[in-house]
Amino acid sequence: MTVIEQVGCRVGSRWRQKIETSWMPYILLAPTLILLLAVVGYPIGVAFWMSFHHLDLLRPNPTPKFVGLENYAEMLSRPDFWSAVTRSAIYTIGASMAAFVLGLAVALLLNERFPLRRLFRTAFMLPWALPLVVSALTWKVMLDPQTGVINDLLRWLGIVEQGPMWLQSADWALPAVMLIDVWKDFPMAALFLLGGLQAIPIELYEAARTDGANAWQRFRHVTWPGLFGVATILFLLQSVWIFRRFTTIYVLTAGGPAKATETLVIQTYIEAFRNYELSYASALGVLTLLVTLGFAGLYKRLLRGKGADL
Amino acid sequence: MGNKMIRVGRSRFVLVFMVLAITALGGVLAFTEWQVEAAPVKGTIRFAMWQAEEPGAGDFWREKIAAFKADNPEAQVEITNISPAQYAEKMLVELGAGNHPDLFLIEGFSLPQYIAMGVLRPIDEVYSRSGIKEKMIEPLLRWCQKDGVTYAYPIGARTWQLVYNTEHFARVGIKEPPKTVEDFLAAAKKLTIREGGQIKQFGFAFPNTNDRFLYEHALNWANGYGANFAKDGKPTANDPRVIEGLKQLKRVYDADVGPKGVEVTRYRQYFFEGRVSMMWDLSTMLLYAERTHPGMGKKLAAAHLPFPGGDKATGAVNTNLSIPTKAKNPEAAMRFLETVMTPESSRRWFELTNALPTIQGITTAEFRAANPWYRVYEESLATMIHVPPPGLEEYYGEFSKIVQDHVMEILVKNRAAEDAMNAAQKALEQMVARKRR
Repeated sequence: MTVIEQVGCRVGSRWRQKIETSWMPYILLAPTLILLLAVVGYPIGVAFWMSFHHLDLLRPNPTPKFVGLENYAEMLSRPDFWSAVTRSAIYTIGASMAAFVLGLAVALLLNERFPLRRLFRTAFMLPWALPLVVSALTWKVMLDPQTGVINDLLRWLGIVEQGPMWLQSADWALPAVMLIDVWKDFPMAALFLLGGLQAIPIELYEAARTDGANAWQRFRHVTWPGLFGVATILFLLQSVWIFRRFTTIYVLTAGGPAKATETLVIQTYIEAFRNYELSYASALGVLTLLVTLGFAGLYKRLLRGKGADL
Repeated sequence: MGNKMIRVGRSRFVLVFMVLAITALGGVLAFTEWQVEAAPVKGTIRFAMWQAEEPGAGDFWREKIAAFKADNPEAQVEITNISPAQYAEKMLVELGAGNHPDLFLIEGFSLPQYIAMGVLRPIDEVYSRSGIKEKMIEPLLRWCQKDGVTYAYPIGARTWQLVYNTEHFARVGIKEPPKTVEDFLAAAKKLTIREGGQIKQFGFAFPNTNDRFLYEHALNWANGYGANFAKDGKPTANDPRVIEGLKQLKRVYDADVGPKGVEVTRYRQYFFEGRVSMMWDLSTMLLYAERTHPGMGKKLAAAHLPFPGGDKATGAVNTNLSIPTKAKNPEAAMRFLETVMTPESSRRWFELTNALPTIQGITTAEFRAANPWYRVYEESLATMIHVPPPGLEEYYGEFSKIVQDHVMEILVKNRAAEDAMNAAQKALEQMVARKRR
C-alpha cells in the first residue's frame, strides 16, 4: 500500500469511527424521534400556538385570531379554574399517596415467604391488568346507592343504615373516584417497590437484627433508605399519571355532580368539546403540560439535594 | 305597397319563428336537464349517523339505502355509525377538520350550532323538487331554517310527556294521572314501595346525574311555572318562576321517590321491568317497552305533564338529515335525501320508530284508536318548547352545562334555589358576553 493509500485509509476509518460513535445513536433514534414529533410534538405545538389565539367555531369559516395572553388571563380570573386546580391537587396527592402506601404494604407482605405467595402475587396484579374503562364501569355498578354491593355490604356489616350516595354525592364523589384509582394503581406501586425491596442486600437486615433492631427500626434504617430512589421515581410517575387521568372520572361522573369531580383535565375536555372553546381548552392543556413538567423538575431537584443516584 | 306588405309579413314570420324557436330550445334544455337529473347517480355517499344499531331507526335506513341502490346500481352508500354518546363530539372534530361526510344525521339540539358554524349546505332546491314543504308541520320546519334558508330535513320529532304504568296505578288506587304538582308528588310517594330498608318500586324516575337530560328535565319544571332559562337571547335563569319550578323539583328529589345517580338509559330499563311507575319521556319508550318486554306496552299509558298547560312540554326535532358544505358527492347525497323526503318515508319512519312525524296526515285513525296514548304526544307537537335556549341556541352546549351544574347544586348540595340560580344567571351572562365579543 502506498503512503497516500495508508493515509487515506486512516482518515476514512477516523470518519467512520466518528460517525459510529457520535452520529450513529442519532441515526438509529431518528425514526422514533420523527414519529414522536409527529404524534406528540406536533399536537403539543399546535395546542401551544392555539392557546395564544382565539378561534370561534360557532362562526362560518372560523379563523384563529391572535390574542396574546388573553386566554391565560381569562383562565386565572375564573373561579371555576381555581376550584379545578384545588380539586386536581387533592385528587393527585391523595390518590398517589394512598396508592403508594397500599403498594408498599403489599410489597412488604409479598417480600416475605408464605404459602401460596405466587398466587397472591398474581391476584394482586389483577386490578392493574383490567382495562380502565372496564374497572370504572364495574365500580360504577358496585357503588350504585340503591343496588350496589358496596352499600349492601356496609348495611350487612351494620356500619350504615342507608349508605352514602357515592358518585351522586358532592361530598363522596371525589373520594370514591380516588378510591377506584388507588385500587387500580396500587399493584403497579407494589411491583415497583417489590423490585426495590429485593435489591436490598439481605446482609443489611442480618446485621440490623444482630444489632437488636426491631421491625420498625429495620424498616426505618435499612428498608426505607434502600427504597428511597425507587419510591421517588414511583411517586413522581404516579403523580403524573393520576394528575392526567381522564377515563376514570369521565366514565364515573363526567366531572359531576355539581363539578365535584371536575379536575383540570376534565375541564379541558368540557371546554373543548362541549363549550366549543378550543383556544381556552388549549391554554388549559398547556398549563397541564407545564404542571406535569413541573412535577418532574421538582422531584429531580429534590433528588439532587439528597444526592440520590437516578 | 305590395313589397311593403311582403316585408311586414316576412318580419312577423321571423318574429313568430324566433319565439317558437326559443320556446322549443327552452323545452329541449329543460328536458335535457331533467334527463341529467333523473339519470342514476354514481359514486359513494358517506353517511354518518348514530342510529345504525337502533331497532326501528336502523331498519329504516337500511331499507332506504337498499331502495336507493336498486335505483342507482352504481352508487354506494357507506354508513359510518358513531355511538350516540360520542356523536356530537366526533362530528365536531370531523367537521372542524374538513372531513365532511356526504350526509349526516343531526340531533335537534346541535342543529343551531351547526347552522351557526356554516357547515351545512342549503337544501331548498331539494325541498322544491320533492314538494314536501307544504305538507310539513310548519313549526318543526322552521327549526331547520335560518334567515329563510333551509339547512336540514327533520325526519322525526319528540316531546316529553308523563308515561305511567296503569297496573301500578290500579294497585294503589290511583284512578287517573295527576294533573297538579301536589297530586303528582302524592302519587309518586304512594307508588314508591319500600321493603327491608330498600326501595323495590320507585314512584317516579327522572334525570338527576350530570348529563344533558337533567337540563331538559329542569326546563320542564321551569316551563311548568311559565318561564324558560332564556328569553329573546338573554338568560333568565333567576326568574322567580324558574326558581319556583326548581324548588318543586327539589321537593321531588328529597322525597326519595326515584332512583338517584342513575342515568336515563338505566332507569328506562327499570321502567320496562316494572320497577318504576312514572317517568317523563318520549313516545318511543312505549314502543321499546313492548319490544323489549312483550306485554309491558299494554300496561303503559301517557298523559300531559302535571302543570297548567302541561301539553306545552319540551321537545325537539330529534333526527334531522343534512348535507355538509364540503361533501364530496353532494349531488348524489341530494338525490338520496329526496328519497327520504316523502310522505311514504315519513309513514314508514313512524311505523318503525313511533317517533312523532314531521309531516301532516301520517298517523291514521286506526292507529290512534289502537293507541289512545298517542293523542297526548300529537297534541304537544306544534306547541312544544324547544330545548336550546331561545335566542342563544348556538350556545346550547355551554349554556346547558352551566344551568345543569347549578341545578345539581340545588339537588345534591342543598344550595338554596334562589342562591344557585342567581349564581347561574351571573355565569350565563358572563358566558354570553364572552361568546359575543
